[in-house]
Amino acid sequence: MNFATVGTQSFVIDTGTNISGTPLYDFAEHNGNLFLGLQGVNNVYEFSNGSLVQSIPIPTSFGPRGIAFVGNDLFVADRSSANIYELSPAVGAPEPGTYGLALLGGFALAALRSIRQGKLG
Amino acid sequence: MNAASTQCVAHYPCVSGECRCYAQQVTNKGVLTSDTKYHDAYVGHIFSYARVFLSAPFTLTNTISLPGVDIKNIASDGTHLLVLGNVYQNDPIGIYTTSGQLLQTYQTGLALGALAWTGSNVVALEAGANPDLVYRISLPTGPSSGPFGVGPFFYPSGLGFDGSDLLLLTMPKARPAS
Repeated sequence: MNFATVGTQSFVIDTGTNISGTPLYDFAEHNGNLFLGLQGVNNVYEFSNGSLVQSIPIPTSFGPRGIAFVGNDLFVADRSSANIYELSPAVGAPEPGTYGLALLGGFALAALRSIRQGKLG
Repeated sequence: MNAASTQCVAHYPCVSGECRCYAQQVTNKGVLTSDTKYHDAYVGHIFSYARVFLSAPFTLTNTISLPGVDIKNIASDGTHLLVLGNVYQNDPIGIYTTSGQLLQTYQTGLALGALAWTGSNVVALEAGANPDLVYRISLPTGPSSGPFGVGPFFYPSGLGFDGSDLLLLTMPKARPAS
């Protein structure tokens, strides 16, 4: 999937996500991050500098039809139910960012263990 | 860290035996996401690199029900929700408060697919023409200007604005010439 400028198309941002055969629905930008919704996938994916930083579960029935921010709250439209869901970031959550070795060891090992056990994917 | 709660949320395709997987774990400190590269012949044995991201988790705090509205897309002007409905050849844009109160409706007279807010106007996408078209609409009462041809793109489906450029979400495959 690509994310391109229109008019004189100047560049294309490839999100790097490969979800085969999944058409796109909508996206929003917030605090420099990209929030992406896919048809048939009940998540909103958050990207930072081209890297996925989280997958946010949404109670839609066929994926987020529309994504928008008002302030820091995320609004996601579900066409099937005619609902718009409001999601708020956790109060007191740490600043988003990329963290290094302090967190890397345990989590990488946890991921490694899960890959070995066939739990990933 | 609890490995049992770790799950892969997205994959990169493997290239020359190198694979990447994003694994995610929700903790009381936020959402941890690891960007992990490994070799498909030695799963779990070779990590070329791994990065960990932390972002704020989102929780559902409110549900706005709009019975009778066939919602095609939404956008925001920073204060209100702009809801694109589906009425044949005359899609309405409803201006709602974030609690779901309808303030005003603008009948576009168009068959639209997506909205974006530029800071002063709405830009609306009419996909499917060749080229695809966008319109600029002054809310709440108009007028609209355009159409402006863009693309053509392959299944364009989302619009955005980054402060200077219009952004369009589309599939990577080029549309065949008609």
